[in-house]
Amino acid sequence: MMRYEPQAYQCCTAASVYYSARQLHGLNRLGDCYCPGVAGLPCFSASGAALDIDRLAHAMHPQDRADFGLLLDMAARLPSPLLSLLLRLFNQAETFRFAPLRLARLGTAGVVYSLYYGFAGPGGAQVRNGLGWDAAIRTVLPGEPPMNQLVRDAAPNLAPDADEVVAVFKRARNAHLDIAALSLKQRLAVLDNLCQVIVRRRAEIIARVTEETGKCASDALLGEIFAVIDNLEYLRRHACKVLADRKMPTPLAMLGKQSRVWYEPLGTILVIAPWNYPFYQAIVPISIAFAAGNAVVHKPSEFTPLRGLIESILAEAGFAPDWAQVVYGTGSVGATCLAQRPDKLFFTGSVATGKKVMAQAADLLVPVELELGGKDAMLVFADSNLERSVAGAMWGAFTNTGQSCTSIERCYVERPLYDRFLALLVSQTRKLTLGTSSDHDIGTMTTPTQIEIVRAHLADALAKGATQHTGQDWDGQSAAIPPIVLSNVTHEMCVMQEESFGPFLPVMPFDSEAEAITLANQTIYGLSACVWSGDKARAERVARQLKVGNVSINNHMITEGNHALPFGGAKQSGIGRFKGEEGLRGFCNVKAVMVDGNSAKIEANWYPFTTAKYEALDKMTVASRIRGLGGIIRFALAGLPLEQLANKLGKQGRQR
Amino acid sequence: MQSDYDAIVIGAGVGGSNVAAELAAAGWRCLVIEAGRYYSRLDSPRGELDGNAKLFWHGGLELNRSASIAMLRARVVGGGSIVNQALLDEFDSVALDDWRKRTGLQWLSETGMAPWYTRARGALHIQPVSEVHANRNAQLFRQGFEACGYGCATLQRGQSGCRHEEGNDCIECLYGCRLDSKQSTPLTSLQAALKSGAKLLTECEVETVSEEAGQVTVRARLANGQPQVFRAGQLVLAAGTLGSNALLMRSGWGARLPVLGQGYYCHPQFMYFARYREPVNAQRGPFQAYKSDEPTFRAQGFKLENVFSPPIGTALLLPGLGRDHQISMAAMRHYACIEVAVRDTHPGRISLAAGGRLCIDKELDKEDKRRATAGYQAVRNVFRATGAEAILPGRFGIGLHLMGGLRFARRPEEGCVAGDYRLFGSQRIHVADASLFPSAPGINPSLTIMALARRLGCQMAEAA
Repeated sequence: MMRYEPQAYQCCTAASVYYSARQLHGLNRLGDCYCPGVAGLPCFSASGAALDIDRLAHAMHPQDRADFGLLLDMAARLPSPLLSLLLRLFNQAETFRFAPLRLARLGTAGVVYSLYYGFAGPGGAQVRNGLGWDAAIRTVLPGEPPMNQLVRDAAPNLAPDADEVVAVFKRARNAHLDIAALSLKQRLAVLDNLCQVIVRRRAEIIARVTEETGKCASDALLGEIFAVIDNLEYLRRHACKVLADRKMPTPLAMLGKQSRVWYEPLGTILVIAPWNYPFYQAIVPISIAFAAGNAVVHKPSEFTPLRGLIESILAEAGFAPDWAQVVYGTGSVGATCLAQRPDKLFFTGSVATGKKVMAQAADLLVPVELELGGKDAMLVFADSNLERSVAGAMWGAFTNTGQSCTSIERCYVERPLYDRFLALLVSQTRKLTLGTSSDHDIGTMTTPTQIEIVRAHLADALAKGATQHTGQDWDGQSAAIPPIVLSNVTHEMCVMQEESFGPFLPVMPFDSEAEAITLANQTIYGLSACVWSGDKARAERVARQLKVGNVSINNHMITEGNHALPFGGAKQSGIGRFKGEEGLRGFCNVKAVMVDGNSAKIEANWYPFTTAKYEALDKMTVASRIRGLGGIIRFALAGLPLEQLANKLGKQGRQR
Repeated sequence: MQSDYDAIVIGAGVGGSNVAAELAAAGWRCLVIEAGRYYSRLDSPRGELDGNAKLFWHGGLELNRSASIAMLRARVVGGGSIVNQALLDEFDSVALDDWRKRTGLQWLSETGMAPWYTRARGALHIQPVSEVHANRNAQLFRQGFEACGYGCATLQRGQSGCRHEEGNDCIECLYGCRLDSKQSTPLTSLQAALKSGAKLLTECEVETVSEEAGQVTVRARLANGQPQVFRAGQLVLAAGTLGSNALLMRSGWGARLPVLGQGYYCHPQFMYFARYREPVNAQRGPFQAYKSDEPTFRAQGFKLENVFSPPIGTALLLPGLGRDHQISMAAMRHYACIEVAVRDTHPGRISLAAGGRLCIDKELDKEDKRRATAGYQAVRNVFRATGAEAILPGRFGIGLHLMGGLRFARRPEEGCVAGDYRLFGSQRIHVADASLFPSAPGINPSLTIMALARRLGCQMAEAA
């Protein structure tokens, strides 16, 4: 029989957001008293059931959770004979009729048995088999129950009314003054706290995100936690430099003056966020805008509001409540927010909504940054590494269940490689697993509308002659859409023209470099693209001809992964650049400053204008095209008399 | 922030869903507030651990003060109808006559209730549990009853077809039915209410309710912890017995309702496992099939049902510790199980402890213990008649039917709710859950909660 080795459970540190590693050690000791292991059934600690404690702990009454923590502390410290004596005492609870004893027995046995006989942890299957527990529901009913839509539609409108939105912006404007009073270093210290809070609470964040989006745990960890930390790390290291006052060149004609650019806060930034990365799309714009000294009003998607989570994380990091406020609701709430004239709108979403938002902003002259959709192309040349490009294609297309604006939506493969590429892609795609746990590759879709678009694109492609290689068992309704590889596709199909935002990968052959470029550019979108080739020069040549905001060579989406690079789209994929230097400065009022001396000097271009001065200015204009030493001499020869004349005229005034 | 509704219903369980169905059908602007989440068959918890954690208040077990009876209180859209076994029986004259005598309400009779039972039944499918697929646990129950000369009957269940021929085991449906067969309110009355335009707010906990001139105010907390205030013309409390009682206590009604929280019953159930040489495999097929139909049992104040429990429940109930206990668990497939449900006579009391936590005083008195013991003797006879090797009594009682505390009564000294379902002293606050029950009926309460709620809904709609 395997005995419990405490050192094997060091990994427990990260297993619970409620209990410490030491308390989990106590749980394992307690568990091994209740379930010491018999033939066919492992002992509690060997089953690893303790690792799943949070599945239970989050539902417990806070008082019980705390009390149980004390019991676990005790169980971690008590010598074994005393611990087993104590449990034997608990076990006599019924005879003693002493309520606290019964409570202790039900509490401890309740948690241990719930985890162990609830088949938690890696050893759960072994316990299930040991009991011969074979109860199951084997019938799988097709489609989504009609009640789901009814429940969604029945949600009462709790959106804030216009008065509340007005109050939110009033508070934001006041908060902006407080934020502006902080030094950049102080703001970055708050963001550093934020980073720590996110790392500490990552399990909770991932649970909320996977619950609301349906994405798999790994997508949530990478896309929502890792990427957010990376961004905060970029700000910590580089924001001071990027936002520092800049000295700019001063032309010779302005000799003696100083030129500067100051990066000042804009004031209040309105962030309207999408549902595909609800945590990332909240924290990243909030943190960049805050680093630049702005107050933020954040409106998350009504599909993935993460109600309360962002506020709670920010508050713990030391954000005052009004520095970044969250307003919940649908698009109409977004419109009410925009009507408050924020100093800038940062919008991420679809092209269609982007157009509406920009139209409203145009009326108010609110500057906008739009991060819209894409139809990203992958160009694979025949000299690419086959395994790498196939693996890259799968991840690029299916990550976040394809619900990423920069996921690969079209794959073009040079003909000599095409058949082998497709065959390997299909066989590898079939191995991908669906589900939301950390052991799954692809999560579920987030919104019913998007499921319907995927269904419609698939039906359209199949009707126009496409071949479907994988995912044929999808019922057209379930949110768990298997990855779908298509071939025999044409540019007449929706799946090659419109953003699908689902786990699709249509593959099409090409014959020449020129054809590849034409095909890739044949779209209204221009977000990102990737070029795969063993020939670096060719890859760069092709990459330069793609009309997109971001391009990766022999990889995909890594420009987005590097927070020092700007992110944004060309063509209808958006306006403006986010992240990196451009992004930080995008949330700034870029203020141009020139400093001149407090001298007696009268400038040449000031009044009065006379014919003599006109002629001197004319000479000066010609001379100001300075080339080489001769140019400088000519410029000085024209400039000095002009300066004297200007001074004289300026002090005497026009002679009447 | 204000939301205006004609009526707010607190609780989307059996009572609340049925009232909302009637009100919404009559054109009322109706908001149902539920503390739990909505789960469909696609995302309902798979397994007992997550089922307990996600579908019940505080993870599954709420104990009486002496920690001898565990109360099961659902917290999910659909309430008890998600986690129960959907056994739907009308009350007999024994139960209703007692209620009429206690309350003076003449309509509490078989004929008075008949139209409301009909109306409640009309909203769902009721089928007898398939005897063809009855598992060995059920067969042993029936054989034992025949051998002992006790009467037994097939259970009537709210279900639309469990497809046992496809290998479905209903014990899995204790955390929500993945076959959309069990007639929980999201498939029946609540669905009808939403179709008629009722609004449903989930994951929202009501903290207090108050009544002012012309309206009621409901103060609640959303899932994000933000407070939210709702106002409406009428209020229906259907938060379940413990929920409705606690809510009124938190709202300060204790001063106006002298017996608030008193007269609490829970049909204490005691489970007995019996080990057989051959595997019983009680986990397979229909979860339950038979109940006692024995006038002598009814007269003695108990009934028996063939039942079972999933592994966590079984582990908590089985005696022993450590190795012995684990060996007992390893033999789980060899167990049959029968429960004794006591029609309890000794009232308990619900109160709030310091810090606002529920405190339940509920014990069995001499008479109730006598009833439980008589039940146990019958169980023992049944097990022995079928060759059981050993009988293992469950370690604690379970309260599955939580009733009373806001009893119908003639006067505020005897109960909290008048015959028109309104709290004494209130014009606008109605009650529509099992907290209305003046005593323990000894029969599964679900269908009667539906009938009482339907009656209230129609009465409110008519009065408007």
